[in-house]
Amino acid sequence: MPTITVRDLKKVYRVHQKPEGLSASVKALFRRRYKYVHAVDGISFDIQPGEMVGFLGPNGAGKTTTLKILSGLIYPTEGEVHVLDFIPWARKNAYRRQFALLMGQKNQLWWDLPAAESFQLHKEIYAIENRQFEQVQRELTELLDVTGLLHQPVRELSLGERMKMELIAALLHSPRVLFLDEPTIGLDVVAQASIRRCLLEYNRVRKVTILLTSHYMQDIEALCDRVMMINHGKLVHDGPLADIVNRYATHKIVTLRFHDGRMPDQLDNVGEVLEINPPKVKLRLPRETVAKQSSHLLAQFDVADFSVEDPPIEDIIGRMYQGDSMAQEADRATGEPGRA
Amino acid sequence: MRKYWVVFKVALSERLVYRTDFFIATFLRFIPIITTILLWRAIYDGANRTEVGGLAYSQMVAYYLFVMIVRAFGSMPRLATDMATDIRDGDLRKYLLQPINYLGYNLTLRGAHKLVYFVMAAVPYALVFYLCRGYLPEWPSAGMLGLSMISLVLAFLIGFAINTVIGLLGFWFLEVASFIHVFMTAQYFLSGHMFPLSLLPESMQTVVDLLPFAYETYYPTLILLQRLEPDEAVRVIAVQCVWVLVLLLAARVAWARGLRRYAAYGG
Amino acid sequence: MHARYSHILLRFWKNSLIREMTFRGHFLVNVASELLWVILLLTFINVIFSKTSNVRGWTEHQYLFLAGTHMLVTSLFEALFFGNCWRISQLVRTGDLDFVLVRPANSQFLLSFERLDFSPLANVPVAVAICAYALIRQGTTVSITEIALYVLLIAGGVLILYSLLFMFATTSVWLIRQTGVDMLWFYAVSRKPGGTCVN
Repeated sequence: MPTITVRDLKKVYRVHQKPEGLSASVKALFRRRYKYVHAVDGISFDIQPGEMVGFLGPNGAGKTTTLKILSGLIYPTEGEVHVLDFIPWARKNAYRRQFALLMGQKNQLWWDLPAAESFQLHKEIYAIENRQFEQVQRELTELLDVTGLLHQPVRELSLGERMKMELIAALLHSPRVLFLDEPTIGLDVVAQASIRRCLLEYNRVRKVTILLTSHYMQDIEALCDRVMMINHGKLVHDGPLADIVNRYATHKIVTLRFHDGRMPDQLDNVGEVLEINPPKVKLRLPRETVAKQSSHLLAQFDVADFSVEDPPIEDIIGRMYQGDSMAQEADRATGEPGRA
Repeated sequence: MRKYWVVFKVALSERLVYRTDFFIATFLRFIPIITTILLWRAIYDGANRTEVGGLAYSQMVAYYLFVMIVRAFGSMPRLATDMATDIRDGDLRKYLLQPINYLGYNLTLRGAHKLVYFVMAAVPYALVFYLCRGYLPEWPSAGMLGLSMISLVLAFLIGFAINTVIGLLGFWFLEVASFIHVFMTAQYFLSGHMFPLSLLPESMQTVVDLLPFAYETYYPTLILLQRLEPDEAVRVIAVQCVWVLVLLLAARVAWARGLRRYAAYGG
Repeated sequence: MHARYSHILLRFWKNSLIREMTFRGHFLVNVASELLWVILLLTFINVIFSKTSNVRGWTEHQYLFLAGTHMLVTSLFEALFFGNCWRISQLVRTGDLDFVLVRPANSQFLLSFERLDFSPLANVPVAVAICAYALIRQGTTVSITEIALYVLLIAGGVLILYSLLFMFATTSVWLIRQTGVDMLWFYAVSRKPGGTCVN
């Protein structure tokens, strides 16, 4: 029984076209021109209990909109959504008690008060029983290492510490589903790692279903078994992260280290030169031919060290975004559907 | 000097953007007077007198109408708050880096705002005054009109200076907002905005006369109301000038001292 | 397992108190400011009644009672609801309204009661004192029933104000720029003695 079911979800916004120039402005007083923005354009997916799913996509792709629809904050134009057997936008208390929403760079706690006081408020709003509250609060503060900071006003905490408090607040009522929107944005490396650790722990032990959007590859790589890529409101990829690499990584990165002073200068004939840092060279070679070209290089030159890697995921995904836009343009030109 | 002209022009165009809000808002500003005038009507009837505080009922109505005009010159909405905020949030730095004097800049800004206000408010004001023409005195002589204009400009300067001094307190106090609130409340009463100061007992009137507030609103209003002889009007203008000088000086001193303290603490 | 609104309310108030304590100086200045206003208002009334013995049949003490009642309703409203209604438009603008909608409790309740403003609250005993003083000086005797009715009507007045302001605040969902709220408050309930019944 999937925790989250989404079928043909669509969200269309009607936006007023702001007119340019004086005569257009006058005309606009009488007849407004509208543009329709398809923020979410027919998305379907299922998420099983205990899954950790990442949402990837360029800005404005529809990730946050989808997340907000699942939280019940936005009404969809079309489509069916069920989370834990509830319809999110009915906003039933029974539903709201079972999920939590956490957004990076946004503050839900009372600014001038110690986090502990905001937690007490949470306790009342979510009707958490005393003993359970004490226990969960203790667990979380120890897990995130913020025990000493509970009684300090939130405004005095660093960004990382504040985010940890926000995370605690989100988990206090033991939600079954967690929606995270850019949770580690702006945080230092240590805080990011701490938060990731906490999320993994919660997912492993308590089987919390987690849906997260992020621009940080480390978040996605560390946390998500499954990645959904959204672009222009459409679901472009749905599967393990490794699949993206396998399907879309058209090239490999070959790093060669030469013996001192003997760097060949015809390397651009072999492949695209990414970096030259004598005695090291980085080349970008097509996947299909990398094996053959590698043995060729090893035979031809006196190589001291040699490695073949996948390009960084950011690159792959960046190209996917671009490729998708290019594919869309190609579609428009040829009138034929392109490859997703 | 030309840079001030540029500031003036920019402020002017910025203000002109908020046109429709404006028309409505200007009319709405006259509404509080209605309840006050009704109250006074009831007071006059109950007192069974023709004169209260030396004013006949029609003059009382005219008083509040003219106060609107004088307040249009002397009120400096958010000036103190904005200055205090600039200081507190460190935005002051961006003004210090520019070759323009902060006080001069604000004065020019306010002047521009007032000019736009008068141009845009002229129609609603004219309409209201036309409807209430029964209560207004006869048109003043050219001489009195001239004195009135001078007094109004001085009221503008006094208003500016007072609010600036209060705003500059932000150099010494973190939360000036509460002071400002106290100050606004006191000003409402002591400037004659709430009711003509002639209603106060003699003892209180002498105290109030020693403060600048009365010269920001009450006395200029009396001039417009033509309750003062030309020589009395000139006297009022003289006292206004004194206050303008004293307050502007206080502002300059506060600015210099405050700036020194500001630099010492790094904002 | 349902949220108990009385508990939430007490928590809101407790948090508001803690918050107010961190800004102690601020609170004191505000109280001083409100006190100043009360003094000036009383002076004004005094001035009026030094010129006349009654205004449309209202004696000085009756007028004083009216002013005290007005102050009572206004202060209670400002303490309980004004700040919260004003914050609604702010929440809409910053998008933080999301976090209220996501909570398993009535959104209107959460929005309307979140903060208790202590500075106007301090005016409540002052208002009651003024009313009591006016009653005593006027020589009126009141029955328990009348007091009970009075309290009920005060509550009604506060709720009417709340409803009006809440309605205006919610329009901010459609109008991004809200100048209406505090302007309306100022004009509708402007600080004039006995704003409404003069005739």
